[in-house]
Amino acid sequence: MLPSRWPRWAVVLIAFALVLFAILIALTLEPAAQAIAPQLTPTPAVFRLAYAAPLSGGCVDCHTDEARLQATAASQSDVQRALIQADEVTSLHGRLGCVTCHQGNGQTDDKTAAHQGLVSNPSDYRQADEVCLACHANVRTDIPEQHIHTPHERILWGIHEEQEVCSCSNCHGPVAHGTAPVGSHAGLAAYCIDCHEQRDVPPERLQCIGCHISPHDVTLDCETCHLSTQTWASTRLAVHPMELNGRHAELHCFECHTQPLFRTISGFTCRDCHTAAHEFGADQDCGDCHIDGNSWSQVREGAFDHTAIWSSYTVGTHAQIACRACHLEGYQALPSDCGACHQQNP
Amino acid sequence: MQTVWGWLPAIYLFLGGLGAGAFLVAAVIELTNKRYEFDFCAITLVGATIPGPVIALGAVILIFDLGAGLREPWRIAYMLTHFTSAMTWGVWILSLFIPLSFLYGFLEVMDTYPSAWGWVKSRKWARKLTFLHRLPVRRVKRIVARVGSVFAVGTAIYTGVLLSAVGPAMPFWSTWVLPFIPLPILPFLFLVSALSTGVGVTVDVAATLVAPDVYQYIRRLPLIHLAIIGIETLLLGFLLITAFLQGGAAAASARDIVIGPHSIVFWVLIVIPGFVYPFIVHAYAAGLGRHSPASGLGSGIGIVVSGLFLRYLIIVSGIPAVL
Repeated sequence: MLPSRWPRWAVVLIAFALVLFAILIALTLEPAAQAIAPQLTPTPAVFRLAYAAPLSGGCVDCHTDEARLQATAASQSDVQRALIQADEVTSLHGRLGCVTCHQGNGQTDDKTAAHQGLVSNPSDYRQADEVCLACHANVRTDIPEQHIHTPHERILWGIHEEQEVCSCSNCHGPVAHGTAPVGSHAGLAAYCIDCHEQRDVPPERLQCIGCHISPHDVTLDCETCHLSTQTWASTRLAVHPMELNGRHAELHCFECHTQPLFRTISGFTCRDCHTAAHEFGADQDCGDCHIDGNSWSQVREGAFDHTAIWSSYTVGTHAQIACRACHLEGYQALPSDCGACHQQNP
Repeated sequence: MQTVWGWLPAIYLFLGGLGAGAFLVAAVIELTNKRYEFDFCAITLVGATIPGPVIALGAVILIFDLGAGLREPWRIAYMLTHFTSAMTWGVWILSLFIPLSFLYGFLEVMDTYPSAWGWVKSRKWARKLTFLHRLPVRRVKRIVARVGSVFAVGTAIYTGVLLSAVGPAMPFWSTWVLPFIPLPILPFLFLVSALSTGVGVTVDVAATLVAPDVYQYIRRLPLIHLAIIGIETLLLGFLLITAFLQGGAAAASARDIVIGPHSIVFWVLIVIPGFVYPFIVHAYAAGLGRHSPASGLGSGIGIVVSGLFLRYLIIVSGIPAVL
């Protein structure tokens, strides 16, 4: 196979040539293949953050050392504000390194030189484009799976247009400093409502539906039923198209309704939920005899006319004894002759 | 598709995988003593000599691709001690595997051409290597093959780890083996693909060129190669199916590959030359105990070229997740 004049070690050179050939072929064929393929849509560029975690050692050394901070800080409150916990730098965002977001110089012990060009709030609308948005440029406004409607679109527009808008950290907290990047409701309430009231934003932005997408198929304010801003589970039955009584009023909504929809319900008749304990009256509504929400043993006065089917019902003590004394196995019709229950005197 | 990572990462992942795969093939032939059944073993000669230069070339391209690493190469030193990072594992694996590969290649050349020691001794700059001549070359070579095999597996897996470590940012790259097996599939796929390209270049091309009837000497080769192609096909199938089931950006990537804009590259430049044709050729060879030199060479070239396209396609079809 190999030409006889060639030394056998030439296969090594051929192997190298094959590797280079593969690269050459790939670089040549791929554009040709793409030329006849449908047009590709490039996704937004992946972030290009000036990653500088290794250059942040000086920042961490000083800001985790309370004694060193006290030596240079003007007041104890400044020390507490500047102090960071050592484990904060190991968090998801903390691992990016101080200089990556805050800039400055992390390779000097000199405080002034270290803080040259420092950005105290990297998520401010003036900085966020190059810091937070370097990775999170692709954020969504609606997050239906979490039932959240965010003002991200408005905020991104503001950042790009250099219009004053919220900082990312207003809602998401100081993410690299021990706070998980999740909105805290208490913090949001304090910041958003104050700011929005001052800025005359549309009033609906101050209500729950300003941020939350209702999963329900009713148009009620959230607070009509939900009692807490910490958990959705704390609710009250504020509105219901029909009055619920007794035990029915104690049921959780989704024992009858299909979660999270209210207009779909497992059924409207008693028998949609309850299994009938007796056969007679199968074509009747339970409520004809039983009282809604009360014990099944409580029956409406005069709801059932025994005398219509058994003339002896009002004779003697028949009407006073417990139903179960005769209806041992359910409420089906019983034989009406006396001998079925009474023994004849000998 | 993402446009930041393109051909350069694909090329160095391909070179790393091919070098590791070729090393593993040579080491297996060496350690099973098959190498000594021939007066000249093209499989071990090629499998031992190309990993060093090929992986070193890949490492240079990697550093070139790093950008910051090219401008400030001293920053690469920071990567040596960041042990929770996959990059650090890779730096260590490559730093140890590259010299081992060169040593293995040198020893194999000296074992194949003992007269080359005279050339080494005659060169002033190479004389320091003559101490190796006093050692039992074959024993040292077998030790290097054993140790190097561990690093070869590490290198081949690392090429997949490098991508899957990007994690949730590129969901397709971190697709699980199966929806209920929470391990990234790319390291396994790239390991098997590395083996396949290694067999392609050492057996299908090099051995066929030197001894077209190589399959008559090592009869299990077609079956072994069939098994490798089969496993690679399964893993590629799992990658695409799991990505489809995962939904979102991962499913969009898989859709682009199978029926979308990348489908021509996938079917014409990967599946047919790298899977279908070699499978037919080796099934034929397994049945008859031989295959024609042309089909062997065609299979090897197809596997090597498709190995590069496979890595390129997986890279460019990545779609960033919404963070």
